[in-house]
Amino acid sequence: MRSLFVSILLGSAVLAAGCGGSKGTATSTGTTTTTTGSGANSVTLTVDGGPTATQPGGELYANAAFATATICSPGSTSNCVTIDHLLVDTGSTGLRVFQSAVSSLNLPSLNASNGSPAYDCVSFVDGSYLWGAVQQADVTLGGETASKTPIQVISGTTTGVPSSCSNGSTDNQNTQASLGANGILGVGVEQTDCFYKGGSVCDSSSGLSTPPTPAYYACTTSTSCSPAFVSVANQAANPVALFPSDNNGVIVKLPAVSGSAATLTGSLVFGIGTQSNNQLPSSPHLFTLTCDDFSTTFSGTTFTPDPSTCGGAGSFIDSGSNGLYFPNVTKIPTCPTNTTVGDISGFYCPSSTEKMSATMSAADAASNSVSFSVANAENLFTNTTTDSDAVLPTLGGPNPGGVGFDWGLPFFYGVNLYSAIDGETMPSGTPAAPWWAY
Amino acid sequence: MSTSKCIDMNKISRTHQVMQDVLRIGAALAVLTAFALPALAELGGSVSTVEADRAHMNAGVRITSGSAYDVHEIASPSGTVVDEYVSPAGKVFAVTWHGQFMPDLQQILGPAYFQQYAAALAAREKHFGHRPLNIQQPGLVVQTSGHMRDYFGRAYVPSMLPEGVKADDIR
Repeated sequence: MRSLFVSILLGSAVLAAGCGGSKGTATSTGTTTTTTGSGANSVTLTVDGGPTATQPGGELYANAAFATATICSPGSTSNCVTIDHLLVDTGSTGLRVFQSAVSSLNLPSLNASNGSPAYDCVSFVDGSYLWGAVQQADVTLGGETASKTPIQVISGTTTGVPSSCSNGSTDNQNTQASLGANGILGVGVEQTDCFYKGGSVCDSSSGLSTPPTPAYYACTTSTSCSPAFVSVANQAANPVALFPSDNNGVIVKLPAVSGSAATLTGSLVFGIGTQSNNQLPSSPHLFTLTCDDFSTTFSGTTFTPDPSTCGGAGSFIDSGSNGLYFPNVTKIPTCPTNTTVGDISGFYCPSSTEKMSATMSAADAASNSVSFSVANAENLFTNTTTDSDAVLPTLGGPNPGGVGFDWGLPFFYGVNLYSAIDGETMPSGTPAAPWWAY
Repeated sequence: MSTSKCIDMNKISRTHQVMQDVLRIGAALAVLTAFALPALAELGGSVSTVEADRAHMNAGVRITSGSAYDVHEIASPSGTVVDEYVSPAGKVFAVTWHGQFMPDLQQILGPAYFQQYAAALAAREKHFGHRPLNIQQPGLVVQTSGHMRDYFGRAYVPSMLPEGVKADDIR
């Protein structure tokens, strides 16, 4: 089942890249493998270890949910490629794909405010980064198309990356082998990747005297780039927010698991309260966000954002984090640096699986206690019964420095997570976005 | 549909007002701040290096004095806040940050610690997935967390922590 599924998706990608297959063909190819919850306003989600898991010697990407998108030259239904294994990330915004995957489309560049081509820099908290031009494409997910969407086209080279972007790191994740995915589908709570609290400091209208870094750059050549303002309209956009309808948020639906599993299939549904398949439950746990975060109380400590400064220790739900990462207040042993699978000190290794709970809450007084378990990650990665499993619901690790609680993909198993996009129209009876609900 | 949908002029003007306020506050704080300009700021350096970081970030500084250390808070107009922890001996023993953007680590760590950080980062084993960073070296700890538009982090020199100050105090 697993290998068949992977080969079907890889096959469709190769086919479409080679012949520029139509959106209709690509979409139907995707839906033939669907087992749950697919419709015009949804795409299949797979937690299958990623595109390299099935390659000889390839690494498995645990707890990563992937989807397939079709990317077309603006206005075209034939000049298209279909890209599988895009990491579905509710913790970021914007579609990011490798330049090599879309080079045949000759997508039009989008410019910075000074008229030179705009480049985008994405910093991940682990020091890795993405760098590449902002270009315009039609993005189709299931039956929904976001026309003229600014996307990041990840440069194939490190030459020309500004030092303010790399910020001391050599971890440019511009290949499948380094990213573990064929791109990132950021469907977070914002409309663009530089939108926050109702505005964008990357837009010259912010009134800042200099553009913020590391964010957007203007490049007169691919190796001559300076920080620059980029209008909101030209910033890497949440494709969902650009759909003609079903554009106010997403639902990440993944079924419950009783333990580790080889693979898992679910769906990414577009829109909240706009169709019969995306209605909120009658009494949802709904958390309005402060600084795009909420609060989590764990073992007597509350990790909460400071509403005035957005400092403090905000907690968040993030499908792009592949574990539960939280401050080690209960002193769970961390894993060794010298295991047969290398340095895994970023994960917890309790002697036996620990059951615990934490309480999610928000400024609107919503509150819910969530139970979870953390198992020995070295065992998960090396025990022959789980070492090829992509679904590891008990994978956790420390969030160092005493800051927030990161509810990664293990939280999503068995949950329909509604993520509402800031500035969009919400169903009646619900608060203004951004919010999370389940 | 056209991309003009993603521009909401109400939101832009609201942000503009917020930014104007931030700039005004920043300017006011800057007027209150008068340090000599040193060549380079660095973790482990003297308190006077805070000014280089402030100038680099085009920011204001607010000083909070405590019995064990002072915190010099540098707030940039774009919303990134860097707190520099200064010991009674006048040395920067820790820096923390939060905001929409990562700070310039070369600037706030200083060249020596930045090199150590970069080397440790490059030597780190890679595993798929984005997760918090925890670099623990004998003379330097760098820890980061957060997500897009919401970055947190801290760096400190364990041997320079003043008497009675614990790592947990740096946040």
